[in-house]
Amino acid sequence: MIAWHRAVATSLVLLTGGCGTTSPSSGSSGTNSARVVSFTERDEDNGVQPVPRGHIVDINSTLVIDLDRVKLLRKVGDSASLEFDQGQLDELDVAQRVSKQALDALPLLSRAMDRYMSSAKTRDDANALSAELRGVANAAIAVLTSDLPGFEAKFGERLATAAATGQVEIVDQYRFLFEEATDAVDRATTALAAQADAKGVFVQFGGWIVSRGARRPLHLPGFDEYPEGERFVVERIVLELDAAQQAQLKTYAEIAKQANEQGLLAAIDLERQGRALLARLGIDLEATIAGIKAKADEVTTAGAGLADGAAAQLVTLIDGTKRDIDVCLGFARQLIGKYSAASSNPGDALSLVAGLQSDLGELLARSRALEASLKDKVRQLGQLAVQLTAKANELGAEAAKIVQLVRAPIETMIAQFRILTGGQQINTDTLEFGEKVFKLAVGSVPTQTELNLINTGQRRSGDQLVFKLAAGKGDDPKTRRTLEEHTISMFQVLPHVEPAAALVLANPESRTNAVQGDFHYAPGMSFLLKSGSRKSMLYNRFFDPGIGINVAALDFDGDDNPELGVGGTLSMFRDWVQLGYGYNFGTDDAYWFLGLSIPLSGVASQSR
Amino acid sequence: MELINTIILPSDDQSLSKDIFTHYVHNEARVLLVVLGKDDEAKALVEKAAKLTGSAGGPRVVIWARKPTQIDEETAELTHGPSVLAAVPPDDDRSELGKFDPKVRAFALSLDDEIRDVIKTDEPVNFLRAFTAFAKAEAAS
Repeated sequence: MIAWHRAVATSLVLLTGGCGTTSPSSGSSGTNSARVVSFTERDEDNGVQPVPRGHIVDINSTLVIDLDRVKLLRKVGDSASLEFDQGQLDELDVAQRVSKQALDALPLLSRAMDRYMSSAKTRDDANALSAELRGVANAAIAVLTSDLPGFEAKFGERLATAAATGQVEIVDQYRFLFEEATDAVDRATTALAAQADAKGVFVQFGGWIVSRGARRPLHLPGFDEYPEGERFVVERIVLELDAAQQAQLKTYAEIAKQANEQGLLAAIDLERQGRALLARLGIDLEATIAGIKAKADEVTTAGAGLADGAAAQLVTLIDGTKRDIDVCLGFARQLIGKYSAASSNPGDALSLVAGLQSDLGELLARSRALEASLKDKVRQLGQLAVQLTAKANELGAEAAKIVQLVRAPIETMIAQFRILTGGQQINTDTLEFGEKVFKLAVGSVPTQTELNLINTGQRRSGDQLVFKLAAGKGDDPKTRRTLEEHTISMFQVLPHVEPAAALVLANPESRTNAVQGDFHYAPGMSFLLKSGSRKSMLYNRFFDPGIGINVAALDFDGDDNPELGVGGTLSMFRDWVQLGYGYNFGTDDAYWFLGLSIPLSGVASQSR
Repeated sequence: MELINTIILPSDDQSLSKDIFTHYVHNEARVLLVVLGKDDEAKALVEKAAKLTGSAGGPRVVIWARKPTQIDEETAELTHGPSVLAAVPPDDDRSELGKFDPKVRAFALSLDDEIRDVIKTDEPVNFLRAFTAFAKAEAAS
């Protein structure tokens, strides 16, 4: 076989600069990456953009999911130990990419050609056309020198067929070339896929939506037989407060009333708000501290008891052993004394000889008793060691619990921050393909599918989509290996309007009213126009800026009949802070205001 | 036959042929395919290449020098792009490339008036080859 793939690799150098000058920047995501799966977002406003890995899409968009067959073959080959020619795959990859980029660039070339044809065809006009033409022509040369199997004959036939009916437009000629190259790559990959199919390799691709810890499978046409989810559009214009916001507004009204009488600090009771905030974060501060103290006491007591008990047992053992040895030694000394005296008095020899047998028997018995006693002491010592080890382990476990108790609230806070900056951490290992996900032969894997997020049921900003691509061999599920995972977060990225309750701290410009101090406190509502980010989780979850209108129930004249205040406002930090300028239509007063939308608990008097 | 975007140099007027050729090379900002000779294959190449020039007035032009010796001097002054030099077999007399060489059936000129491809007489005459010559000239323009 001709080493056509080597020619493509060589030609890639030409393309790098050439095609780049004409290719639109909206090529599919990860054009140069080794990822099989790439995503393109088509939003409600007909915007189309590639989705970089791990990034963000609008919550109502449609995802166009492309599966690159050449890259799939490479990964399947690695996973299933198929001996594909990696060089050939590399170059198929390049030829495919070059053709795609060039086909994407043709509309630009077509427009440039139209401009040229209607121009005076000066050198400047020719240069302008050439700027668009050069990259496409370089891509064409790369493909022509690649010697893709069957490509030249097909392309030549295509030109001849078109020429049989008249002049062939230049842009069309290039289009024929790249279309035929794409077909040639497809034919080559189909042949390789047949090799994988013959070995019983299967591919699965599935998706899940993860919302507040719950997960449900997604229907990806061509890859499973799940039913489509419930149709649910996340509204882009919401003017009504939800139940939680209504409760918040009520709280702000109570706090405002009390703050106007006693001052803001007295009304909100910072200590209580702090505790409430920790509770919202899932941290029971007092219980945590009490738990740590109890565990510390428990460990201290256990440690002291263990030390005392073990020491006492050890002393008893040592004392007992010493006593047994002393008794035995005492008897031996007694015998030595008896027989030393006998040697100097032969008259007692008979009685000595008569007593010798019983003395030796006694000594033997005592020695055996000492041996048994020592063995018992060693056994007891072993038991004590086991007990000590067990106690030490218990102590270790208790100490670990203390560490955990201390660490838990810190970890909770870190997790909260991670969610702010990077989204919820999902254990994707627990996401298993269901029975309804097809096992597809490599050759029959669809190269594109679509997921309309509107048809995925209820969801909210910050929810995530997880996609898995896996391959296995035969019928054994144990052979299945995950080839790729993708996580995408959903937010309201497109412009949208949402309401927010606020505690308004109004500062009237005029001092002719009944407002005491710097601020008048009032409940208010803002209607905020926002737009999310496709790149920054922190922006969406934390900064979340908005601009809009604030309406406040003011009482500048102090007659307990609220006046309507309306103003423009800027909001930041998920509406926690709002700044604006408004006008009190009841008292004809202009005012600056600070709006707070922090989740405060009820007024101080209610909780005491 | 109808030849769009094709200039046939007059065989019986060398001076006019030189003027036309020089004009297209140096004054017209076009990509040129200069076909040499009047045999059947040259004619076939002209016909095929003309079809690939697109609409009338487009950026590609075919110049048919049926009597190549008329433009020998002008051709000799043209410079050759590196890709052309690489394509010429080592045993060719490169210094003679610009002059009429019976082994050369056609050559393609970029906007910068550089020879970017040479079609040899032993190559097949077909649409693919004509397209390749134009594409090489356009890639270098």
